[in-house]
Amino acid sequence: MTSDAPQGQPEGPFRGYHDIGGRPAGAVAKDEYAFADWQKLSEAMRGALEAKGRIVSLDEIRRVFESFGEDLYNTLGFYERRAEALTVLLDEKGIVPRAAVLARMEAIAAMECRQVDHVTKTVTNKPTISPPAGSAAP
Amino acid sequence: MTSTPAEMSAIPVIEGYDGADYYALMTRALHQILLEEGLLAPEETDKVIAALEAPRPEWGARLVARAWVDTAFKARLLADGASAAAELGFTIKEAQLVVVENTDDLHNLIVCTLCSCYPRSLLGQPPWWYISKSYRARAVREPRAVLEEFGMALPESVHVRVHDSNADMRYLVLPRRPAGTEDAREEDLARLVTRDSMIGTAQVSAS
Repeated sequence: MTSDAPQGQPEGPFRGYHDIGGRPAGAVAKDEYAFADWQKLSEAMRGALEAKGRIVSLDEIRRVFESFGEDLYNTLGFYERRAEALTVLLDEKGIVPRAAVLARMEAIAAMECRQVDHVTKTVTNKPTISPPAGSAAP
Repeated sequence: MTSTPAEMSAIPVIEGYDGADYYALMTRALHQILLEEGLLAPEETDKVIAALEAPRPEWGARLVARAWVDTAFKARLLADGASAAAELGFTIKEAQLVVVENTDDLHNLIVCTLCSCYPRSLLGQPPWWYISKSYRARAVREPRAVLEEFGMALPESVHVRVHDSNADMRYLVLPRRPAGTEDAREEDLARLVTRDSMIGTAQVSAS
């Protein structure tokens, strides 16, 4: 193994976007974050489904996020990628329709006065309702 | 989409971390549905979460300290990591455990370029930098530069060997025993061993 400086390299036509070993990249940030509860639950759902007659497997999850597109791969974090892949995979297998998951997200958010945007993948607080401009104050 | 090197460099390490709220919500929604449909019971995920939370670097440190004080154990650890770990009561579930030994002229570094393979059932979740794209991308091309970022300037005379993990093989570095610890007890030695030293981004120091 050499310690050459990073350099651009022509990408082979069959190199997957997840196959980033040797690609140029910036400094390694060493920030530490907690292992969040939702991340544990997401990993645990996958693990429990796998333990139950391999309803899903880690190999299948990897296959999904290694084929769901480079843009998504590059913009989602590690656990986010896996959570997205789990939902895609359960839909693909006809076990839980993705539409049902998205609808449930909206229902939960609404109960918490929040709203979901599935395009930008954000959850925001609902704007507080203010009286229309020009309405007379009592 | 093709990325130029400059764009690659711009990819943040915890890429998309800001989107976590969305996926936290998706996870809750999916969990509710799986419970309602009877596809999962609450105790089934609780059990997996307990198994995720239990392993920690201190478990790996016990293997390292034992190997430092017991040459026969060390030989068994290097020959078959999982069997040797089982001697101390640790079950390596996910794959083969390959233990690689640092010496005066060889330094080992662990990475998983394709994903995030790591001896989770021994050390717990990997550090965030280990699953970052920068580390995955660079550790195999410029390991010495990466090690310098971790504060390790290795002399040119030390050979650096990088191990790329995969679904079947997880690696653990057996770091060098620090000088001045010849009389230390095994349990005191274990306390010196850090997570990063078992990945190869740190040395073990005597204090």
